[in-house]
Amino acid sequence: MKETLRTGILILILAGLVSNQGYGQREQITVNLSDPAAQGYLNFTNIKGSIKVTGYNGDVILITAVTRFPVESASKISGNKIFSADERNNRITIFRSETNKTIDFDLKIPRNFSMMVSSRDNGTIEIININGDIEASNPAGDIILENIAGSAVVSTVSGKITASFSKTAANSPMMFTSLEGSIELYLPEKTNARVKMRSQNGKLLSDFKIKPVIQPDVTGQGMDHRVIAYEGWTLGMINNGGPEYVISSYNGNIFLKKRRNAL
Amino acid sequence: MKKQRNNQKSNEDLHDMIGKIPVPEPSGTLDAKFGLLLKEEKKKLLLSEPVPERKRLAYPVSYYVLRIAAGIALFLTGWFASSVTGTRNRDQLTSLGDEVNMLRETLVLAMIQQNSPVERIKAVQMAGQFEADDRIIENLIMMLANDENDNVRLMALEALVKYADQPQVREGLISTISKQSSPMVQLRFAELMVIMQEKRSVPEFQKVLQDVNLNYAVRSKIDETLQLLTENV
Repeated sequence: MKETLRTGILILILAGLVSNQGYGQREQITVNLSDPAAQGYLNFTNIKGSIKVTGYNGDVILITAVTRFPVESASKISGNKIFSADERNNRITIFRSETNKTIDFDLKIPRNFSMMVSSRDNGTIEIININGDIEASNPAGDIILENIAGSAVVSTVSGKITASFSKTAANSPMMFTSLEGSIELYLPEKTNARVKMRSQNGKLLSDFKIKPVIQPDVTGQGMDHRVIAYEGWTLGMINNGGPEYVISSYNGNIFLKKRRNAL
Repeated sequence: MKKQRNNQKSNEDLHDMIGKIPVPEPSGTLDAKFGLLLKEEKKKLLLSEPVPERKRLAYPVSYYVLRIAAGIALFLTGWFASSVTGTRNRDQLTSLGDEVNMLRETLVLAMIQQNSPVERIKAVQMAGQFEADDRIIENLIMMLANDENDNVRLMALEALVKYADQPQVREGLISTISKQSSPMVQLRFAELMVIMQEKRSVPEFQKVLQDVNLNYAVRSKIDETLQLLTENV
């Protein structure tokens, strides 16, 4: 008796799940740039959900948003837009008009773009084929940069960072920080940079030869205690040295790798 | 060719001939004669009046004194001149250095206001390359307290550590602890306050611990920090 009851309940739950299966709400818009030939700038904070930005050889911006979980038909019928976008002088800002749902965004944009993108929760940030300066933060998830020509300032708390550059900007510093996750950085073989790396509980591994830069730990002797600024940091130069790349994780490993097909 | 060989031969013959000339031995009287001459000369010297000192010099003493004085004077003028122009150069250099520093400072202050975090990180790195004055330090503390980018705040903290021996920097650092939301910055703060043995940070860390959503790694690190800071009072 008990068993039949249990299986009955199980079947009911499964049926419920199946009947609830459906597609999330999906919206797509295109945005034109004021000056497609010039560098664009994207500003987008996704409160909940992923962001994927892919550079392509085109002039317009195609934004697709999909709610990750099925929504009740009522809201579909009401026709409420789940996001809107604003363009002014090549600067694009995306606004979410609805804050409770997890919405994943997929953007196709011209390659020459700089951006500030962040996901506050429940998502991954993925940026591919972009020439520009990238600022990305995703405290709760991973950040993936692929085929970037430019620079990046990236931070996460519990996610991993994988960043691959086909070309680095000659004068731009970069930063990659994570608390829990590993940081994997792929750079062109001829990159000139100064690296400042640290992982409290992880390892540092590098394909590049890093010429150590010696800096005294103690920089001051004020009050009654010494001030130690560089303790625990690995400072060094890749090739001839250049802009400073700060790579810091607390629990994760740090990998510096040579990218094979650099520009 | 033949002529040359002939010349060579006649030369050799001449050498032989010179070699064959007998060398006469000095006679015994030579020595004695020389001794006599020497004695006479000595006698003459002793008999003659002693020459006064002044007359022995080719010029009067005042001449030499003047010469030495002139030398010293020249040396002194040289020294004086060099020191004058030298200090002027140094003054020029220091004023040039001041100007460069001022320019740098203005640049850093302008870059701190930039929208792009890359520019702000550059500004912080630049500020770390020279001895920052109060204005820069104030701005760095502002950055540490208010910048929207976690990485920029972390960099500002790293830059300020250099000046942590200044009391106002310490106070600035401590006052921003409870404003931090980034776990990376919080962790670094915990670490630094232990190194600095800064007990005034204890109440600030206690405020941080009140946040229920605080990252567990940060919470355990701060617990550890508080223990280290309070146990050896």
